[in-house]
Amino acid sequence: MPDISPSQGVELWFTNLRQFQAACINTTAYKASLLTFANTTCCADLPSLAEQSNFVSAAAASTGYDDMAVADLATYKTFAGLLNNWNPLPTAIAILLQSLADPTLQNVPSKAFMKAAVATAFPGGSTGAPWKEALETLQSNIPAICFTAPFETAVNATVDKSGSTMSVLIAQIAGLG
Amino acid sequence: MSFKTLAGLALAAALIPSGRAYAQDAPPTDLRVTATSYVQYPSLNPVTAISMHVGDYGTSIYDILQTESTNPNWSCATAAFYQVAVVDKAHKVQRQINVSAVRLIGYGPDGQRYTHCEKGHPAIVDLVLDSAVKSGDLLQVFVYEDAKHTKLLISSDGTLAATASTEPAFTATPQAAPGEALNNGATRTVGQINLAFADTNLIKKSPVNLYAKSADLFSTDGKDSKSAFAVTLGIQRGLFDKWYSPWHLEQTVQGNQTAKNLSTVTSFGLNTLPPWHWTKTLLNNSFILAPLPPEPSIAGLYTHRIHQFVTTKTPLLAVDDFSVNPLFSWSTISFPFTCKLLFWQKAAPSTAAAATPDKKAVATTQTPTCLGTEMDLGLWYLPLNHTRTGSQRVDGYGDISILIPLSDLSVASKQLTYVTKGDPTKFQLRIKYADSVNAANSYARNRQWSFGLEVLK
Repeated sequence: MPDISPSQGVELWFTNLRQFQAACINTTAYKASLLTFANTTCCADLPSLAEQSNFVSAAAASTGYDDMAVADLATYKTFAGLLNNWNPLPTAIAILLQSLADPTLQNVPSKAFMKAAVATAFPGGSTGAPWKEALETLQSNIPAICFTAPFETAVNATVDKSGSTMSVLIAQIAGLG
Repeated sequence: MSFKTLAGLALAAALIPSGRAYAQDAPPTDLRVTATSYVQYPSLNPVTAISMHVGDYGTSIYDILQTESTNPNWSCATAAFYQVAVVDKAHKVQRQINVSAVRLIGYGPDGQRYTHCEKGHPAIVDLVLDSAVKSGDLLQVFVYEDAKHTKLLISSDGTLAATASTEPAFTATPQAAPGEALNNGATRTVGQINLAFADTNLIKKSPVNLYAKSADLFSTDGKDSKSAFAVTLGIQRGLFDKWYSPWHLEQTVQGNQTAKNLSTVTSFGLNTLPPWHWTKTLLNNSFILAPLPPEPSIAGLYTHRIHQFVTTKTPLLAVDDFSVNPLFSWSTISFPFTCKLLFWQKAAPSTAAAATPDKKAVATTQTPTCLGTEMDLGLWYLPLNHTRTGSQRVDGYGDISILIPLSDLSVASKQLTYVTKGDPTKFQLRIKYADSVNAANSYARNRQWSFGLEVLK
């Protein structure tokens, strides 16, 4: 299997989310927007044990997350939370941002990158060329409905905020909006 | 190898300069692990494993795997680099646990299962446990850089408690039974022992789940009317890989301990859920909401009586009995228009008023209240039985229930606040009409109305 590029990592998360949605065949969440689906409570959409079992078998078959159990639907609450257990979106976002960050931070351990200041990783703030490139890459890999204009404004505010760390920025982007 | 030895080796390894940043300190103990047990579909085989969460960015294990990904002699998919041990509360190793397989969970972008670890993929690596683990055992996972386990990379903190047992379950419960009834009509005090055995997975790594179980009661007196044994061997599997459709086939041998009563019972069954989303317009509107599909199932039972011990209380039965029982259950159907009627205080959930597709989707997934219904429809087909006219016997049955959540009744909402407050489906009234057939009583037919107040979880 060839190495997974940072962009592919983010794309894979949304591919998995769509696979989860496709596995909700009998429910109305099947036709919800991707963002709504991500934040839908699993057990509200799949109230019966039969439906939950059906989802688990279909989702496991399409994603390969075959150690998923019916109990996980209650444990992780939302479909995004459920997916993050097998394919954490913060990890995919972090890997992508690290690959686009200032060269001095591109090869540091993940712990160090999480502690780094956003201003160090992306000099120039939200109007600087490094962040503009990062933002463009994020938007090309995240469906538009999960990265709206107001959300972009909020993310840019975090980038410009003095003292922001990468862990804060990554968590915010992984929250979608 | 004791924990102290391991710790010593780890400390020694940490003191040897290796050029790897993480090896300059004592190996971390913050590997996040969770106990997991699940049923694989479609094989329906139970699996007990430890999930190692290796894909969390910013953790020690993530950075270790990034470093080891360039090590040609190391692979996260090889069981030899892991050790699982049962430890006590002081982290002293009590015994080693065999790891039968390492499973990299998930498919990559190419749709193929992961074969190695890199850049957060996979996020979970399962260590499938082969040795016996008891529920409550404290487990610790060690990850080594070498197969000889001389250089520890990271370990878990040893506080993980196993949640499921991998051992076959066996219980034996002796008891005294004063005045026990015997088959000859007499009574006497006897000793009895209840035995129960279950192995949920006889053949590991099998495409079907093979299981065995028995439930027995043996007595010190062979004439004890309660003596019984029932030994079952069964297989089960999903019919379709991507559609929940489990089937099973079981063979049971049962009788009393002297085998004067002896019979074999063969049973089979299949249940599934049909595709349902196509009904979104037809059965998802202001008149009727039916978010769940009906659940069809079919079960068959063939009994062959080899020996029968006939008494005044146990009459002679047919040598062969065969029944097929298809059933069609449909629950959670509701009628939103009834919310506008006199006794209901709430309006129907609005689906049309929602402004955006997102909000509409949420609105239509709300649990409807006011008036609901459930129904079951089935039949017993008895190929070996005949009616008076000589045709094969088929008995249909069914029931229908009207469900009224109490909180939606205006009078209940005001006068019975305890049972309605805060939870719209806490209590519900059920009015049920059933035309039933009792298989345990020669398929006797019974028709009845029933009324009840139900507490919902």
